[in-house]
Amino acid sequence: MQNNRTFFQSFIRNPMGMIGFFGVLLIVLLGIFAPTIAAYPKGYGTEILVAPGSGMLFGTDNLGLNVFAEVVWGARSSLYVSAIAVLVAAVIGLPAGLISGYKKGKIGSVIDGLIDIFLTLPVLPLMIVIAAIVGSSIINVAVVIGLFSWPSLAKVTRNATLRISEMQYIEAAKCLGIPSYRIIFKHILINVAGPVLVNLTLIMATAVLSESGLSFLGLGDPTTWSWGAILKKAWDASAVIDTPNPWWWWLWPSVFIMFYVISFNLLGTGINEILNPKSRE
Amino acid sequence: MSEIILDIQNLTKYFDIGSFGTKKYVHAVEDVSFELHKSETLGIVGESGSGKSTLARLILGLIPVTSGKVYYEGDEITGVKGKYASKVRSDIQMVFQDPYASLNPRIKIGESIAEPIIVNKLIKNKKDVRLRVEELLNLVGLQPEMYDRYPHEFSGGQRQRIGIARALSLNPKVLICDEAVSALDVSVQAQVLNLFNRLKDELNLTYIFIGHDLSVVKYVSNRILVMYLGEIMEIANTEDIFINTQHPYTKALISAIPEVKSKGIKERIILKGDIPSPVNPPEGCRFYSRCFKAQDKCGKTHPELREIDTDHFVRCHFSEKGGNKWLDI
Repeated sequence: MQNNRTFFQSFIRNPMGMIGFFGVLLIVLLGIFAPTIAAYPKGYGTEILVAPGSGMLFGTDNLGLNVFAEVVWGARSSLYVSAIAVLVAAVIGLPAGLISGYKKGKIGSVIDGLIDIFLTLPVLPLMIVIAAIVGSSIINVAVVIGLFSWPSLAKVTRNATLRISEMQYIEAAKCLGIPSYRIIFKHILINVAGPVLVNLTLIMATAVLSESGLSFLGLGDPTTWSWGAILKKAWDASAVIDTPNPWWWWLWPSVFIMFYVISFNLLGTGINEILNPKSRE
Repeated sequence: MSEIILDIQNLTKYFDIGSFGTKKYVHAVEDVSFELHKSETLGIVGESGSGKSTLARLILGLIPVTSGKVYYEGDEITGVKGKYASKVRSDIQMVFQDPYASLNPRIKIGESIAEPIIVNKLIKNKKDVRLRVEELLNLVGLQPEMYDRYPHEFSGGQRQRIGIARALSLNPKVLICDEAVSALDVSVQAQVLNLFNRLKDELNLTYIFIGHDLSVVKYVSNRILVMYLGEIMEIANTEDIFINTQHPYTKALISAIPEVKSKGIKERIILKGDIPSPVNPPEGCRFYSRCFKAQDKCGKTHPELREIDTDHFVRCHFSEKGGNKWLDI
């Protein structure tokens, strides 16, 4: 068990975690400072399908809009979507996992059964159906993604809770008259924080993949720039198969999706390695 | 003897391990009755699996009883809930076995001790709570400055002191020490045992001291209760149990105490085999399979707990008042 200082010290020494951390930091900064980095792309530009380089960093699309600006604003909505999705997943998944792990017996089995049922659901088709029904505002998309991300978080939390709730200090807490909700949401939660944190970063990553997928299928918010939305527009204009090919139009959003997912995965792996002494060499 | 603070009557605990309709029970504690007098220390000894820890948890109400009753200061406390339960909980506290597992690694030790005080609303003012915690740390021989440290910064002995301070935070009257020194080095054991003895005098505590090491239990106890496979085998005053040993199992435990002697090393009684499975305990005497004095009768009839002398109870067919010569090998 380390305290905070040694956690950060070993984090700095973990190259994968650091790469992931800086990748995430870059995206977060892009998202936060989007308005100062590039003007919101709207209307029509004068020069269409300009290759990268000459004045336009990432080139322009078929409406003459700056692809760089689109990608930067896309980072903003990607972060927004993942943050909401993680929040929704945490609000449902954490209590479900903690309570089912701590209260064995009937309550625990029922919640565990629910988690298992949700884990076996075909997520993407259901997401498509629900996104189509509730309408495609960006917040709806985010909440739908969150609603399908909580089972894995709940399972991870439950497994960690099962182990922690057998510890003697939990029995000691009961003996000292500390109420159950306090044992669950304080004593156990701070001890399962490691695996939970790792799972949350993974949800951040998969949320963006889901959002891009939904946007690409036309179920995203048409009024917001997201990486999936850029790809959809490129696809609709058949930019992927055109010759001469405006490769910059579809390449940059794809690269950013990959970069985002890999960064969060590396960050998660890094945290996991630091928290788990067995995987440390 | 002084007044009775805890009265345990026919306490029984079966753990259900049957599955799919089969009925199987672990007989963890069976028909245990004893009285705990104010300001005494009752030692409970027995090897692993004899039900000592289960007994402690039953008394504390941490696990539900199968049958039997526990009376605290005359009132029944088995299965009570609500306000009265929390008062009883405060009055009976426990010091746990493993000092490395009994403190939450992510909570500062001062906060671990302060939390029960705050939750049970003993002291309202935050500053006073901190003062009280520092006083408790002092009481168990630690420095008040250690309030803001985490458990991993302490040694085993220090952690056990923190565990004791935490148990004392609710001003208990009865302290149950479940193998409280077993995990410690021998030199540290002595310090912690002395701390227990000092606290007993200062705070007028009553102890139930659970252990598997008879020499340790002897050092602190006024009376000793010997358990085997969930049953009481012998219960008597500490001197009585050593001088006038009546049960073969007690005899075997005593002979296992190492002695500092160069000459005339006494004959050791080596018990054959392991403690039998508590799932289907033997029909006759539970100690029959390992007893060095076993007779045919022992395998058939289950001996009752008999008072063979004042305050000296034994569960053996052959023990008699006065004589324990038959136990010699």
